[in-house]
Amino acid sequence: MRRALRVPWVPLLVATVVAGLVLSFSTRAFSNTFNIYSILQIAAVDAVVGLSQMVVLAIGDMSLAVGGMAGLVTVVVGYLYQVQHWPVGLAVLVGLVAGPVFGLVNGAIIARTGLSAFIVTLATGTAFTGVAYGVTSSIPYADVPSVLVRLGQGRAAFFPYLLVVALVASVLIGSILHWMPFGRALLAMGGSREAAVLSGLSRQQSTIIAHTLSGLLAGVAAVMYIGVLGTATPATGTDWLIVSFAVPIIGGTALAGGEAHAFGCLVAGVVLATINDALIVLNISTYAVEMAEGLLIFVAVFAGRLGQEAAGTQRPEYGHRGGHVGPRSSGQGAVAREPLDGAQVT
Amino acid sequence: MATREDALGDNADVAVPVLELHDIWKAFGGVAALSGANLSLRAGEIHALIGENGAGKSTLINIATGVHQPDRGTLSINGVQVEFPRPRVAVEHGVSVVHQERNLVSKFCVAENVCLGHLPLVCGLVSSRRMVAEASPWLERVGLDVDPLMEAGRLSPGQAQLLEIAKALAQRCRVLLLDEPTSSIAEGELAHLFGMLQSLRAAGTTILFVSHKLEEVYALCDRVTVLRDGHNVLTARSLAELSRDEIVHAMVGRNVQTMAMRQQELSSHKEARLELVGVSTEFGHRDVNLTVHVGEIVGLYGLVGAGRTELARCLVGLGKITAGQMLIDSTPVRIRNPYDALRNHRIGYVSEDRKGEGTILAHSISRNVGVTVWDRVSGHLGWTSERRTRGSVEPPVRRLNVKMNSFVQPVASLSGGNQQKVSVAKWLAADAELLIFDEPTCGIDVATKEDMHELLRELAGQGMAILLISSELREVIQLADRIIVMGGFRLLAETENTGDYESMSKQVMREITQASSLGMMS
Repeated sequence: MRRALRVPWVPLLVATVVAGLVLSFSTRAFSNTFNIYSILQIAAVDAVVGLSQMVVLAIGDMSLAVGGMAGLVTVVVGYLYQVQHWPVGLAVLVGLVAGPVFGLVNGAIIARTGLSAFIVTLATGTAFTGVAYGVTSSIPYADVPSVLVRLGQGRAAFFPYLLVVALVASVLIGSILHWMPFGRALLAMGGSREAAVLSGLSRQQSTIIAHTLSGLLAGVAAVMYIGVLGTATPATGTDWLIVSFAVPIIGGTALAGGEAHAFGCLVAGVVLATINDALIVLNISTYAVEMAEGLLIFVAVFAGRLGQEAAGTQRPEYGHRGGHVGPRSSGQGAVAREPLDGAQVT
Repeated sequence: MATREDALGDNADVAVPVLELHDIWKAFGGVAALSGANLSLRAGEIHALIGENGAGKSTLINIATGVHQPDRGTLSINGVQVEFPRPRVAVEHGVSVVHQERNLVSKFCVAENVCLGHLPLVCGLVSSRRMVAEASPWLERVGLDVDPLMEAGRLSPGQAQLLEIAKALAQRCRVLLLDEPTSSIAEGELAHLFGMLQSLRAAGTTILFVSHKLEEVYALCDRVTVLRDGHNVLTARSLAELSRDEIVHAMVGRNVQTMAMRQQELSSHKEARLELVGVSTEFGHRDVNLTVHVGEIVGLYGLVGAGRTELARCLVGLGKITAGQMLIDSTPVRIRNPYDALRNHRIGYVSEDRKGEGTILAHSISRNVGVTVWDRVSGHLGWTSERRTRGSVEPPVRRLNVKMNSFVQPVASLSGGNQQKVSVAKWLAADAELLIFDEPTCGIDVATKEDMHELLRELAGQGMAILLISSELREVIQLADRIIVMGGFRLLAETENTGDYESMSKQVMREITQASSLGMMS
């Protein structure tokens, strides 16, 4: 039980359920099946977008290309189906292969050049979006496979089919990070790069794997979103940047790497969608929605830090008052902290 | 604890060494760290490697573990020559190192840290049950009695050390290098660590024990190698036949001519610029009493980890003083941050981390020096400009004789020594009256080093109060009026500097080794 409480998204889930109950008593519009369904439908897409970012955060990198990759996958699927008249299955399959390929490109560039992931994905992400707009001349493919629409908009009472996809994705990613050797390597790399490298794990390999997975998940999110919208628009993903960070962080994933909570993404997706919905149902301005989301990020991060302190895992870092971010190699740590590239004289 | 097996000291030349480093040379940016160092480890011994700071111990270890490549010299394992291009290769050859800094993934559990790099799998999946089963014998071996599923970040420093040793053993290491293993662990954990190391030795593991605590060396080790200035002074000598004095002698060297002393021009009325009275800090300093007078250089000597840098940081408000009083010009002060220290109390801190904290490498010389004076020289509406700052920037830069092409040249394009001068110049521009120099000559060439020394003397001559932190005993004895020895976050001794290297260095080393034998440094 104590273990469960230390999982960062558990309190969040409890809070959301309570808030949902309160809302459903205060307004009738909230608790009807269709409203719940639409909350969960948005949450499902957001969760997968968040997972796509989370696998990169796990190794201590960031990806600004989640949206760009998704946009391009959308265009690939739309083009193959509408223009080339490929069968649905094949078009979607190619789209789902394209995603990881885009991610692989990111990962390979980062691993090869040693440039920061932030810069590389800023560049490639922008380029992907550009290609998506260029190929389509900004015109969405309106002819979308009906099976995708049925998947994206279908439901059993309040339960959207898409939620199954999100559930499966988060269970799979969670399992990979927890039980697969390469998943553990991702977290080790994010937790302590030196320790991981000295233990014989490959930094390049982890970088490539993380970004490829990210591309795959971005592709999955894109296909889900085609179904939700009923069109394949190149604008897909252009506004996913904030969500892609907000979801994993609210869900308890560490921005610095080394800690990831796949199921937390699902919970955070539900939280964000609920807030969004609640404020609309309660007739509050949409501007307030974004403000509330911003505040929630703060609350989630501070709650996470309090949790860490309570667990006693955060030891005072030397020189932390100096306003440094992260450990600084001054004093006694100089030699050991950078054993791989620091040219230190005793 | 004292179960030294002298029998091992005999038949020295018969056995092939498990790990041998022969005639190792290594320089970093023109500064020689090692010049013909040797190390030879025999199976099943605990071998001590000692030497002053800067003697080359860490470089030698880094070469033995594949972190650095030697410029010249050979490594061999059981008589077979090998190369360690990467740390991983050294590990595969059975050479593991445990650093002072923990190399653990703190979010992972204890068992996973032991198995990191070779996780046990069941059907391709990581099995935490197998992981625990695999890690348990190694944890037992080092006597680490904790829940294997506990997060590694929650271990005490001593436990974390044991965990690292367990990790090394799990990688099937035959040679275990321990870099200052006792510097951060508690007294109670020490006996346990030593007992464990002795049982490892009995089982045939070779251990290299890097320490400067002679007491520990005598209690634990069989043979000793002493480094000084990058080469061997004593090589693989049995400790049974060496006295403590002989070792101290070897560490500091005996044939050093007395160096030119700073002219004692201190006037009879010495005003105290900085006084610390019974100061304790958040870093763990206790009862520190220290005075720096106008025009005086006070040398703060100690080994790495003694708490000198941390004390300096507290003086400029980068750490909290939790008890006692700090006085500037006899007035009690509380320094909130470096800005406050400079603006209101004229204290400047020349960081040891020249590239990281001392200068902004990509910025120009004038911007680097001007950073301290911008708000003073800025005009209406707070605008500042190259022209406005030049007046304050130019004199100190000229005075320090920084070798440069222009003021707008980036600091990154200067040599290390000149970078250091720039980081000093900014404090001169700001009219600092108390300067704290933290390892001012670390990693700069000999000529510039002389320049820096000259500069320090000159500044003091003009009335600057200087607190000089240095790990180089020679430098301290050359420059300081008084020498304060620090160890384990306390002041161990304070002495007037006679300038005679031989007597002073022995006195200082004796203070340090004595303090450690009294357990004050753990």
